Amino acid sequence: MDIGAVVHAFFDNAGPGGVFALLIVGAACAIYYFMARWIVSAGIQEEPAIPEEQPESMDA
Amino acid sequence: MEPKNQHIKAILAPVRKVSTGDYLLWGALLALLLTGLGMWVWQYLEGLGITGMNRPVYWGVYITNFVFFIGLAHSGTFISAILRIAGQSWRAPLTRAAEAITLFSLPFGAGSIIIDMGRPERLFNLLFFGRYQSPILWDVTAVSLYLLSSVVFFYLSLIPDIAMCRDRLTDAPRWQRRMYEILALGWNHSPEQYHRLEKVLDGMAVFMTMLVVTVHTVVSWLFGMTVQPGWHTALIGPFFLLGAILSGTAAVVIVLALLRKTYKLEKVLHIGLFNSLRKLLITFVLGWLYMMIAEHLTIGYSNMTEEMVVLNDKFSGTYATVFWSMAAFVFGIPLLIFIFKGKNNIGWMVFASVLINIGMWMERYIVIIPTEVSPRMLHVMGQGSYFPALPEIMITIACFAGMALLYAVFTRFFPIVPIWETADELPGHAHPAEPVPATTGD
Repeated sequence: MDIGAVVHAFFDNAGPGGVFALLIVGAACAIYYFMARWIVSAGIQEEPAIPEEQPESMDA
Repeated sequence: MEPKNQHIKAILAPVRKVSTGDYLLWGALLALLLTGLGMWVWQYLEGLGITGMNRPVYWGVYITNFVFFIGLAHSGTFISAILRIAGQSWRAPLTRAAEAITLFSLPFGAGSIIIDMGRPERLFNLLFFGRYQSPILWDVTAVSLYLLSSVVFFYLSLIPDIAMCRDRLTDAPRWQRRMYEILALGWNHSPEQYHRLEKVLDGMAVFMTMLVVTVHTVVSWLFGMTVQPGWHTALIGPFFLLGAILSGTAAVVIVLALLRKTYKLEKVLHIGLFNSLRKLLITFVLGWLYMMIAEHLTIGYSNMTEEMVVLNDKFSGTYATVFWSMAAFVFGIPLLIFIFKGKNNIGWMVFASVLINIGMWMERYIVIIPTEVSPRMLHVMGQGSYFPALPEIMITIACFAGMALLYAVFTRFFPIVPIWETADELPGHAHPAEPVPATTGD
């Protein structure tokens, strides 16, 4: 496979440039989304577990 | 448990009320913004022929604004990211004010390109038919990523303070409380959240610093990659970058002084911050002068015909008044003020910073227009002329008004001084979040 030709085609053809720009910004969006989730989730993990309400006993 | 900050009441005070004066200011700024919008619609309908641009002057005030606003945007990243990496703890109270400049000036910088296009729908051509040979596509990639990253960097450091607004501003209107609730993302001030947040912000600071260098270098390459007199120089990247950081830091001084006065934040935004910024500005002004001399001396010494037409135009021709005024505004007067009057004097600091920003806008103008008027292959292209027309002037005013409006509205709904970053004690931390330096900054 001629790598040089592939690289040349990337720079010399209409289209891939725009896709590449979108890919970079899209990838950044995904990374930032998961990063924000990771930060905030620390608080959720640390919250004391609320004991579930026990269903009323049928025997009572 | 939320962070302990002795200034929390003072910092949250501006968020609690919107005065009649605010509404009047917002109304006036909105009117200017709408006037600019109207001018843009007129330009869209009539075409770029109604502007001062013509053949061969294809770039005018809009591109000047683009470079200027992108430069202004570097303030936030510089203050927040670069000084964070350098461990400069004194920057903590002013980080958000600086980052907000980034956030609110970037849309007008990027928007100026769209305004300059005349046919905004053609922006999609870049996505569908873009080639990476073109510096314009490099620019679109870098500026889009910078805008996105700045929003995230700004928002992440704002979350703990939004949570404090959610918990404390219980008398705010229902929609406002709901807004805080949504934007706080369930933040509960746990030590682990702060630990992770600081970790991410430290990492992002390194990335943002690289982005600052990339973005403004790529902006300069829009010019540098063309074989035009005055632009085709390897120095243009660092020259643009240094100018951007200079104008951005000067903008921070102006904004800080306004916030301090308007919102009575004298104790938080103390004089020491201005003294520290003064030292930075002296360094940047001298750095900018060095670049200026290096650039013009190299061009002038070569004595190449096409380069000399532009250089002479700047030094002693049509643009001499703008050029020498710019030199006085950016270098001469501010340096004297910073050295002899600026220490412990906010008024003089603001005056010098306003001059720097006027001068930097003129500098962007003087880089673009003389080259456009006398391009390479002058005999083919013909000598041009340029003077901004009414739509360009009104749209420029609208951009500044829009930026001020966004800033003014933001400060009434969110704390403009980071509460958690200036806290005396953070949850899970034995020591203050950032040690507060001496109040004089010396």
